[in-house]
Amino acid sequence: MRIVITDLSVIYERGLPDERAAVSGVTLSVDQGESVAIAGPTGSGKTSLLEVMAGLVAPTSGTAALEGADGTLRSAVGLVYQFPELQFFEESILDEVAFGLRHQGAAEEEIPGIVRNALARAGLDPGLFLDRSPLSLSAGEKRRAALACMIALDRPFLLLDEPSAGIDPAMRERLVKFMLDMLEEGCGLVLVTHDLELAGRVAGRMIILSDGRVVADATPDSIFRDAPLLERLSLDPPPRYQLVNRVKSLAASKAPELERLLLPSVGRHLADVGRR
Amino acid sequence: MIEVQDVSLTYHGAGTSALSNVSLSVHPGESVAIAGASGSGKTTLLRLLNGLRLPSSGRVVVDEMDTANEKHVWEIRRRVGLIFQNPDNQLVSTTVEREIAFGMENLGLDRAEMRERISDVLSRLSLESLRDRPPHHLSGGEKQRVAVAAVLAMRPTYLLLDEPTSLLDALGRREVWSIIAGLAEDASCAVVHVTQFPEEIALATRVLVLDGGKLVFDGRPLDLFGAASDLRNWGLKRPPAMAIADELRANGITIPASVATLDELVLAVSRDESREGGV
Repeated sequence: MRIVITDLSVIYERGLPDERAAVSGVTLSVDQGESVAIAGPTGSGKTSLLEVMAGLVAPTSGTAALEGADGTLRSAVGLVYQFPELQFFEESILDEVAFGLRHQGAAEEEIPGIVRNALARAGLDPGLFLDRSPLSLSAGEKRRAALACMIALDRPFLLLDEPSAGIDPAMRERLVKFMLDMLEEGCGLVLVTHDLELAGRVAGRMIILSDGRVVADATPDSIFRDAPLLERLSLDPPPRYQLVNRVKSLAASKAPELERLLLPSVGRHLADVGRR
Repeated sequence: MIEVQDVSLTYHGAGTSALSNVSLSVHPGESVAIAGASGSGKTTLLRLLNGLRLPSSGRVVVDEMDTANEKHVWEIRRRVGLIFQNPDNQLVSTTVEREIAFGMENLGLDRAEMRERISDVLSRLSLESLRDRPPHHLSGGEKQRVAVAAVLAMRPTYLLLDEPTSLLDALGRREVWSIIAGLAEDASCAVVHVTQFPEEIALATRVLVLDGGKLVFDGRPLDLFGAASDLRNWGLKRPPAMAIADELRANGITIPASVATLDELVLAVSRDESREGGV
């Protein structure tokens, strides 16, 4: 099963004075079991692209489709928003996480078990959180509750918009582990993020957007070593790449040893570096 | 000065308190980071500082005005600017320019002054090209810069920011940081910000750590990062530059102990080709 985007353009407010193109001529596909990070400056079209992949925004031109299975993008994809509080409206976490399940027609007696399991996987103790109001949670907890809503739906693709924003370092480690687990279970993962360190640890492939266009589609490692590209788009690679890239331009003679000590040798997967 | 005197706060219906017996003071010229695990009370503490939340017990006093005294509300709000975690919670106008003017109109500033301040903050946050755009059409990161600009234009004595850079790209983050650093340096303003980024804690002059609603650390970032076991217990990490520095030291490369940021690390390893043990 794969998400296939062909020559996609998204234009907002078409024909109005503030018409603007969010996505222009993007072609890409994401396979189930693949992990893709989408990065780029603010306003480069990342969230719009994600919303098209989730079947929530219709292409202005081009196509977005699910291949290799029956059904629509909407039924195959779970999207966790950048601002989770915008999606909460139930009175308890239990009902909030159950909402999508009920909508999908899950049997009522199975729901509590699925909800508990989803909360635990998202890093929220069901015993403490089931009966709380979603609106009473801290920002980091809301983010995990929103993730639980999508885990419960058990979709083949999980799309995450800035999943590491506003979460603490301990929870970030759990998030990384969660994403690697989901991958191992065969889920397709797409994350939009400014957090290139996170991207390097969980993504096998990275897409860089600028002004709505794809300007790079390669492994995180090769993108992180491309100092001119990163410079041009004001993107900071993970700290160890930043260090090596900057030392290369300041004191070239010292760079090779740093590179040997700090960066993965060619061919080794970056996730190994993160886990070290 | 903002004084927090033995403050506790329990949210309605919650079993445990969000903050317990917290005391501290914040002075103009300081750049204070509030750190701690998710749910430790960081946002609650920030919202107490401008009277958006009132303590269940204890007092918060802004320049000798108690936040619980209703007659001080407007004066306190004028002096203490707050930028929310989610910019959508504070953007209300039809264009970026009007959004920035909104707070100043409430202060009763004259138009010439408003125009000057609008130009100033638009250029400082690289927002000139978005001047006439509706804020709700902007990206998450652009909205965040507009929210910062709107509050800066009011020239507060105390600026409170709740994770101001969590949605920004590297450039936006550097811009917001240079502004924060500049404000704290001119000594007329104090900046208090909640952050999850260890490298942003390292840039502050002082860091407060909350753990389960209690203030467990109040001191210099370098001293905090020296206490490894406490850091873990409080759900914090050292800045990546410090961890990389350790890795390089283990490989025989000399790095000064004071290195906490990536800039400092780049300088340390680039300097002095001939020194023994250098790269």
